[in-house]
Amino acid sequence: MSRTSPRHELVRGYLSQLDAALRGVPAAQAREFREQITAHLDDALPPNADDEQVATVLDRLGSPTELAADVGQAGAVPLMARAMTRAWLWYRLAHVRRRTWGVAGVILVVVGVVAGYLNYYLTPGSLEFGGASGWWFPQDYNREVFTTTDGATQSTVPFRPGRRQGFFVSIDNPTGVTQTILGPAYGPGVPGDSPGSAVVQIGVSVPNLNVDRGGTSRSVRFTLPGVIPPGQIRLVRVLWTSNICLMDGASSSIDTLALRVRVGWFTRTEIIPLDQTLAVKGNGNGPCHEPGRPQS
Amino acid sequence: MAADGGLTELRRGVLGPCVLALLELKPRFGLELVRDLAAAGGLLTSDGTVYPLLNRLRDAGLVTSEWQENPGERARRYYSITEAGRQTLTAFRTEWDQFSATVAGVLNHTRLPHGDQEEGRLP
Repeated sequence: MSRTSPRHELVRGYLSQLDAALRGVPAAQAREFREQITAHLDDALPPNADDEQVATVLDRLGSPTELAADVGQAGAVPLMARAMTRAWLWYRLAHVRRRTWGVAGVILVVVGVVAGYLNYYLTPGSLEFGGASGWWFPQDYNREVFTTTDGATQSTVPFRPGRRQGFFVSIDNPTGVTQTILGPAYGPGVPGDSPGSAVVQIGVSVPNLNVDRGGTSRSVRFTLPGVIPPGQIRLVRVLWTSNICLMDGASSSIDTLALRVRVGWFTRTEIIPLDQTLAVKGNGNGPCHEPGRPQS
Repeated sequence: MAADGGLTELRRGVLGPCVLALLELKPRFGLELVRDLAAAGGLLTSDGTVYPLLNRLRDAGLVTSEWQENPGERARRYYSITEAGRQTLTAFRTEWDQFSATVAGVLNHTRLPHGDQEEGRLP
């Protein structure tokens, strides 16, 4: 690489001034720019350049102070370019057709409506346990045992694997939107609602809450999907046939009810705490099935 | 606004697209680019301003640079346009055609609000 030009006294003086002017510039930028200027001079000046040639090239190159100031604004958009951008933007806006403004307005309204809808139907709270619960089949509620722990009463019945068991609970819709129960929810993050439930059937009562355990409860009609209007309570009946074994003396609380619920256009999973009011207990008398073995 | 100052700022504003346009034809090293811009006439206020501009264009992803050594010559840093640079240049060309036509129309009194048009100077 030729290094003739930097040896020239005028060039050395120019580069010294440039180094001084670049002191306020980040080191990497200053180093790169100095390298570019040095390469420029190497290319522009012949090895035996005289003072006049050197002075002409340096004069065309520009004042070290001004060049250093330009390097310091790396990333900045030149003033005129900014002004041109603004002018062009206004020019374009002024020439947008009325129809285009109309289409933009319609799109804006549609986006606003959809955003409002999403906000209205995605933010309401979940359904809640209404406080009433009971066993569905006489085989269960005739044998339920009440225990009280920390002021809370729990109803426990014998676990009957391979047989239909079930309960009902009152479910409250405290929100301002209609929620429709579509069925049980399964999958990751959904706790088991009944011990070993292989098949869970959900039903929601029509507007008739007159459920009397062992009496008129059979007159209540359960449907699915079940609609719960805002601020109203419905009974939800849960029936299952267990296919696992609960050992003698072991008990399992029914802690939550996981439901698939439609709110507006959207279907979501709601996990409703049941306050541990119901439980089943293994008694060792029923047929405990081994995994993979058909039920009798 | 002083005419010289205005033109200087205008040159600074359009120099970037002009550099991209030259690099669109072929990669160039620094002095080569400076000479081609100077040959176009009236674009450069000083030769040294091209280098900070090249660095800004590179930082914006519009230009890349790499060292090349040709036989018999010393190693030089060659600048090339990137795909983003080509797209920016294409967009600028479209906007510049319309913008410069608008400016020319106003400067020559051929595009003014109706109330401001001077009699006898319009086609």
